[in-house]
Amino acid sequence: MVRRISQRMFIAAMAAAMALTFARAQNPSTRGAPAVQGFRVAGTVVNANTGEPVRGAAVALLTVEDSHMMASTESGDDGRFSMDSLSAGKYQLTASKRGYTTGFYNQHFEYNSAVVTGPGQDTGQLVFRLSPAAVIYGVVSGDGGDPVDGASVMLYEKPHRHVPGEKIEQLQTVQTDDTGAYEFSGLEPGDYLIAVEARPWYATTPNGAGALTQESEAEAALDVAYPVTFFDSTTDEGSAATVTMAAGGREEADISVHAVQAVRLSVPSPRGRGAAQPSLEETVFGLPAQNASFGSTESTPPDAQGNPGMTEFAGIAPGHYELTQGDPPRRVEMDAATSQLVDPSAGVPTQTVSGVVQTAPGVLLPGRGQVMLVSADGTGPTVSPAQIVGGSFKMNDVPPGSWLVEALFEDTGLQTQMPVLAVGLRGGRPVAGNRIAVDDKPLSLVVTVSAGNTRIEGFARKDGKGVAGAMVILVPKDISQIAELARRDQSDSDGSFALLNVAPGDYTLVAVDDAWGMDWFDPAVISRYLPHGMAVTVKDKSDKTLRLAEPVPVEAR
Amino acid sequence: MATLVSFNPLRPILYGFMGIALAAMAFAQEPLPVAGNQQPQQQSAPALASLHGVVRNAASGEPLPRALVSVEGDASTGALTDGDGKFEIPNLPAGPVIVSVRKPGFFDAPSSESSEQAAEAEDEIASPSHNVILAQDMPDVEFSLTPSGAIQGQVDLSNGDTAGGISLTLLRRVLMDGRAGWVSAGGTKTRSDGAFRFGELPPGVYELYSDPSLDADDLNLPVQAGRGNATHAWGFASVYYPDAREPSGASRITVDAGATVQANLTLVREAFQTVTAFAVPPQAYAGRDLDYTAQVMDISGRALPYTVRFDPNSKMIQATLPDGGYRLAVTTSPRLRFSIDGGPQAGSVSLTQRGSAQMLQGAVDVQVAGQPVTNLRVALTEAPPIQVELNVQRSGAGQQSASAGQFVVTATQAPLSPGQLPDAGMVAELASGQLPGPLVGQPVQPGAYWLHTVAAPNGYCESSFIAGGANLAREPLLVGQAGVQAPLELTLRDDCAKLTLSLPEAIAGETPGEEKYYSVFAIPDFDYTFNVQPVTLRPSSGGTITLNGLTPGNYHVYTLKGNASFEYRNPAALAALPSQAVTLSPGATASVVVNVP
Repeated sequence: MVRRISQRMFIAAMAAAMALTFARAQNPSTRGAPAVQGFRVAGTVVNANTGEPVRGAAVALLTVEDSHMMASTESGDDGRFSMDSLSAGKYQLTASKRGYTTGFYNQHFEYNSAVVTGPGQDTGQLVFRLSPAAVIYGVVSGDGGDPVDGASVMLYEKPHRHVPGEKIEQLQTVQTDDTGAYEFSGLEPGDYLIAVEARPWYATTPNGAGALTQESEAEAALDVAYPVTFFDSTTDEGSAATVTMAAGGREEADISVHAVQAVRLSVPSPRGRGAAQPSLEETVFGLPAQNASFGSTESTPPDAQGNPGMTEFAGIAPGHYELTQGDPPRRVEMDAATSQLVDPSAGVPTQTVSGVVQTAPGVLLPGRGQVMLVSADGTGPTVSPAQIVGGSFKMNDVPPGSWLVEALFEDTGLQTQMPVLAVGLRGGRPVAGNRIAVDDKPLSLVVTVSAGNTRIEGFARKDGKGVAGAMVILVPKDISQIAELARRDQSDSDGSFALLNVAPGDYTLVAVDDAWGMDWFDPAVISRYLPHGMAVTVKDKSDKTLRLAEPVPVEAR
Repeated sequence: MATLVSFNPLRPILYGFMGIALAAMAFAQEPLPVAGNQQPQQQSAPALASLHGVVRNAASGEPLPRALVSVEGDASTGALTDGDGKFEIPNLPAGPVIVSVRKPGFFDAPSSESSEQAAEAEDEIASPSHNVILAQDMPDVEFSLTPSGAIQGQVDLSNGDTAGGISLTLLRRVLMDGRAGWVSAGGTKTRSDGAFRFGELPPGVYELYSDPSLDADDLNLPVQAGRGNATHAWGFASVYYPDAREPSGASRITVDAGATVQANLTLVREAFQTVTAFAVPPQAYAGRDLDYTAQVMDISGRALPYTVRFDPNSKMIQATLPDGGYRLAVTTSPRLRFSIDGGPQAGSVSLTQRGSAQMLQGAVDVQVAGQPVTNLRVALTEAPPIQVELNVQRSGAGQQSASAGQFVVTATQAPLSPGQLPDAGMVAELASGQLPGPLVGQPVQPGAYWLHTVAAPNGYCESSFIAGGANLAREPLLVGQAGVQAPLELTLRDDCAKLTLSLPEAIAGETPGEEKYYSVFAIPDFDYTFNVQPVTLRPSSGGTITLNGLTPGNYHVYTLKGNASFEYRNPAALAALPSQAVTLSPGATASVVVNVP
């Protein structure tokens, strides 16, 4: 699964990940003795939009093992850069410049081409395309045009078409200043949505009043809230305007918010001993919001006469909420437009999903990990991940529906996704894949994952020469499992690649030139390339590096 | 080449500006001993009253529309002012209420006399409130709000690039313990067009500087050992507004109520060099878990905002610095390890501390001049903990009540060079203990500190506080790399005096409307290190308070309106204000009816 995070985090995360991934990389000195003067990495930094040279860009060569700097320089007026006296080896090349998005050489999402120096390697004519950063800015104003200070402006990125399973993602949140101004800078090209959460500065929520109590006129005038408001000033999520940013673009996105009468939700509390308090979460594009617009929460416990307790969510904006209430907890999806007493029987009861995670029949996963449930239709509610400890996990409050089980393995702070091969009910027959259905009963599962740390190394070649920047895809024979089992890489400057965390099974390995942006996960698309691919079988417990003797032929797109 | 993207990235360990790492114990301010009736007088008439009046702009006197006046209490209630600045909140029970007045872009600084006073006390800004006595026939109550100021500007870069993403820090002059100092008033980054703004500023005095910025800020990664000569970096050193390279060259920016001050900066691009040093702990510490904090300072020991990279395995310290003279300072503290215990429903958290409480410190001075600096060594030594000896002068006038209560010595960072205001302004507990002493504390980072004593109400008061002949009331304590050399001696006496402070009869009674109140300071004429805490005199709490535990001698009493403070350790500030002289005799109680302004 591809996970995108903000650019700045991205670099740090890659640096961290590389430490793990390449801990066993070859010692550069074993790749042939360097020349007296060493090897050179040189080229030109150009503007990805215009192709013009970029002067004064900081260029650095990093060790792949731990992201230490081997050399750094700046590009000259003609965009040229050169770093000399390098030993033979594999390095990450990166460039940055104020106003551009920092990236690695030939970067596509989390893939890039490392630069390999050594005898016969041509690393003197690299073209590093630096992409100008896009900026979205604007002013948030309230009623009467007053600036809204301290509003949370949230930036969402729509899924990329050619990344399977990707969902809308919240990228950044910034606060407006005292003039209501905000700015998102350093953005990559993409389709963005903007939402604002704020609370009117003068909002005052009377306490102690029930949902059905009439507020005085004076109280009502101050018991106000701003609904979550989307660019271009709509409170309807479905009408939010997409801001499409090209590299280097600047777009103004002013948003006006309007205070409305705040809503009060009164939720009778269950009487059961130790029953959880009701909880309320506002959702924006299906993701939890900042709750900046929340007023107050007040609970009264059940009394001795047996009257139920009451939890009041007061001063909240009309909007879309997920309420968890009752014992056992029931999940209520609600559009709270007006104050109301919530029906205690509303919502669907959630279930407990527990189980064990095994790497093979009867072999529990050692160490720590996480199990996550992801809504199979991509739009459902979210469920907190559960820790795997001693091979077991347990998650409460799972709403009914169709879910995909995902598993992560944790090692020295890094989390690696493990392919889920099969899921079965405890005592039942395992079913291939990772889909489960939760209805009206708790589930006890046996989740079989691939320990999956087989690593496949090889070369992508065409006419006997290594091809840099090709998309290398390991496609499972059972193409219906492509989302879970496929692995990808981008070939390095000498054509080398490495596929990580490969699960046992039969695959076809293909390499496609200029394939970034291709719907590779679409069986109709990928099957065009499979006939010329290379068959690869990963055996159970081949828990090591598999070096391919033959190069993978690079096919034209 | 693929890279796994982690959810919990192991980021390079970066140690930035850490401030002084004194013991992180919160300094609990003991309430001053008071006597007299502090309870609000009972006035439980069932009558209802209406709070009404007007809110004005303190700077212009104009009425202020859409200001929120709210009454605090169980049923919080409030009203917005109308177009004429008028408000009315009906149906309130008669008696005293607390009222707050708010509007974005304005500060409520009740009764503050000068812009400096408005700027000084954070509390005042965080929770301004007014005491109002409500009665059936209420006069109009008038509140005024002070408009906030702003500092904004444009950062230009010498290479013509647009200065997006440059970090800026704003310092504000404040008063602490009667002395002026600087605290951070926040940071911001330039927008992509190079513009910046600090808004919502209380009127006051500020300094502004840019943080250092490398061209490759995104790639602040360690340089591979031995490759310093192959790495070349460029960037922008800190600039202190308007154009100084050193903090001492900073100009002060005065922000008046409602004013927006323009402050532009031009940053000059220059080469930065990699400076590499290795921390060397004493032999006895080999293999121990220590947390290292490394910091770049100027030669005088003032912290500079350069990022320091630290590799815990090799103990390599690395910074990328422009040409100049620097001090690389390293301190350690025992590492605290957290482990979370429990299953999938994890709940309990256990905290284990490993290593000793000993602090190690060391520093090395370095001159950067166009070349990388490699293989510096920072030898760490054990920093001795602070120890304060206690002496007691016994006298016949000693009070029966004298007991062995807690004594605390606190430290505030002092200026490092004459004429410069102290930075950080952090107050920390230095040492504490009971009679017969000594008071024992934590090791202290090198620097200059003003020391203050705080004694629990136990019948003892300060007589003198000296360090090897230096009078700590007149000069700060200097702490070197080897700790404090001279013995610290705090001398106490047991013949403390009391002082009763009262409001004049004429204003002691309660009248409907906003209650006036006063901050009263009793300032010794003699040398002292103890903190002077103002007492608040208000009619609704009896209008009188008795201070005890005071060192006998001559005092002057200063009475200020509202919740105010002033630079009472500065003789010039004292001379500028009216005062009343009073002599406190050993073991006796004196009384002063304060002259209200």
